[in-house]
Amino acid sequence: MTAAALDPAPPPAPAGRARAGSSPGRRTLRLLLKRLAIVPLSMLMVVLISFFLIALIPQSTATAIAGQGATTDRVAEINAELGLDKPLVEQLGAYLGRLAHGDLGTSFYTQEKVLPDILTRLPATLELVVPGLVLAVLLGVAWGTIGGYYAGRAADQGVRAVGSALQAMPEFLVGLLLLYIVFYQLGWAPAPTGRLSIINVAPEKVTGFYTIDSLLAGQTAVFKDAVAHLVLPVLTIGLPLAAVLARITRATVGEAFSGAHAEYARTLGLPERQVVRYALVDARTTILTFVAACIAAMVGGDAIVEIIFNWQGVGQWAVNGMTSLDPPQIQGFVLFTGTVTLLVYIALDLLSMTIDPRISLDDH
Amino acid sequence: MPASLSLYVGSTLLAVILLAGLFLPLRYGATTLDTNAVSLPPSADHWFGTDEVGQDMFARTVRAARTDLPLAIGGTALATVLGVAGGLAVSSKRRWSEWIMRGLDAFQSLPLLILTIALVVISNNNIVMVAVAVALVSGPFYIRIVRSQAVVVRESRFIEAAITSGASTTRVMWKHMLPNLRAVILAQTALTGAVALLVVASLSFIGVGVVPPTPSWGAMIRGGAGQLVTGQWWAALFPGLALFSCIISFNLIADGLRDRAGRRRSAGST
Repeated sequence: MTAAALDPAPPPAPAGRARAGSSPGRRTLRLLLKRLAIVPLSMLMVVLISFFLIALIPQSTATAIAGQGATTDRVAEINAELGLDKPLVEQLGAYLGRLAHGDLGTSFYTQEKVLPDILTRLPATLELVVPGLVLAVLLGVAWGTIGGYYAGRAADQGVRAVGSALQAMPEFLVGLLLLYIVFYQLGWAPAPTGRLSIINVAPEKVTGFYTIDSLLAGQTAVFKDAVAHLVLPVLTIGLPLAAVLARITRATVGEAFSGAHAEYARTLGLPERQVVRYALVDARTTILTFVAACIAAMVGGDAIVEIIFNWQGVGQWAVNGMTSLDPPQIQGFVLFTGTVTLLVYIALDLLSMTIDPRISLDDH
Repeated sequence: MPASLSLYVGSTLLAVILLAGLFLPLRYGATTLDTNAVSLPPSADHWFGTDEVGQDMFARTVRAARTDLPLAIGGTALATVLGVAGGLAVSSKRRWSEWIMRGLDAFQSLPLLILTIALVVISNNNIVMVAVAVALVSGPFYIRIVRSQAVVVRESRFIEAAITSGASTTRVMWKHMLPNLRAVILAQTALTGAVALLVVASLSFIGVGVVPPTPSWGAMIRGGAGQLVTGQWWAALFPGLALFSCIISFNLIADGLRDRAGRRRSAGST
């Protein structure tokens, strides 16, 4: 997924209005319960989507898997193997039954269980995505605040020019550019061979994060190698996102700087540092919403970055599943990312309610 | 950059790339292999060098605009129809429009770009599905933008007046709502163009949709990526620059349109 395509989708806003006159504590509790009450409903929706995605197009799926020129027998065989020849209700029943046991299905090609497949790849993806997001937030907020503070002046113009150039660069271009300059020309970064150099063996698995596991095992050389392999992909994720985040921060912070309370704070003679802090407080809900959208978009891994750097995370795995049309893998991936996205947005709602009492979540 | 300048620069650049792709006569064919000219650096003969099977990169980079841009524009047109019609429909105060918005939330929480890969593969790499993929990825954003403006316009006096004087819903939508949403729709269409091109390029980068030997920027960048780490930068750089120029053109057009609309509004209000 690329930064430009990542404009924040507003989180699902639940219905529910605070009863006037109830105490703030009770109000929050009511909202919390109402928010959580729709979780099973949303969950059901995700499950149904993941089911119908495959079930509603059985013929073409089997035909596509079998490939061109396949006999009708082979197509029927695939349909039978995937259970696609049974009535829809029966299929749904079987699907729900399996899910109830925590079974997301078995890959059609590799015969591996889908859930363990995702879980073993998740640490690799998180090790990449989390630092990338942290970098994006730190850089993007600082960048946007500088732009907003010096609105219209040279610093702002410069910041905006770099930002719009970076936003027009697809992620794969950023990644390849970094690879060419930092790896090939300067020789500062290792080759894109995945999470470690070929000569290094992965540390004994404790958390699945190579950086943590290597430290736990006391292997500093492996740790350094893992960190070195992380630098370029993390920059590739972080820089374009930082540019988008900077634009959003600039817009909201810039508005806060020209607003009445910034003027008032300055009139009171508060130090500029504090004025900036107030402006950031004003902008934080917007920023938080965007960050949540990014996290939600990234839980499935950043497929393109993972491909460029041969990271073997969830994203690359998912793309393989898609291109080979592996139905259980596609369903499992949708279910997994859908669920995590749901959880992220709930966390966002709760967090913004806590930090911003103006939000009553009754409309958007 | 002033609004008129961004508009001018953006549309000129885009027009040049599209027209060159369609009409520029080339010395080499875009899919002609030449085993005597493998991985050559840029020279007077091969301006952009050649790739690992000896295809002329200049010809390929120019001709890729023939497939990539029409696909992106087609996808944008689809997204625009979907976004405007959908956005206007869900701007009504009816109960179902709220339900559609919730459905849209759920839809957007799916990994759409990844899912569209399956869509294109199922259709046996039918490139029309690439345009559909574009519409699926960018349509929901479009619907939201149109809706957010439409609910503001809806409350205007002139809409109220039109309804009171007995205008049909269709008439209100076409004659009264739509002209007032023009600025937003134009800007969003340009912005969608940029996203559309990104989706087209990302899909062919992954290896679905437009696949070699048909030239496309995404696939060429993927092909060039392997050579990049051994120092042959040209096979990835030039298609990358072409893609970058097109995306920045769409963004410039969008910026220009938005600035122009903003200025008119502020001039009108004073």
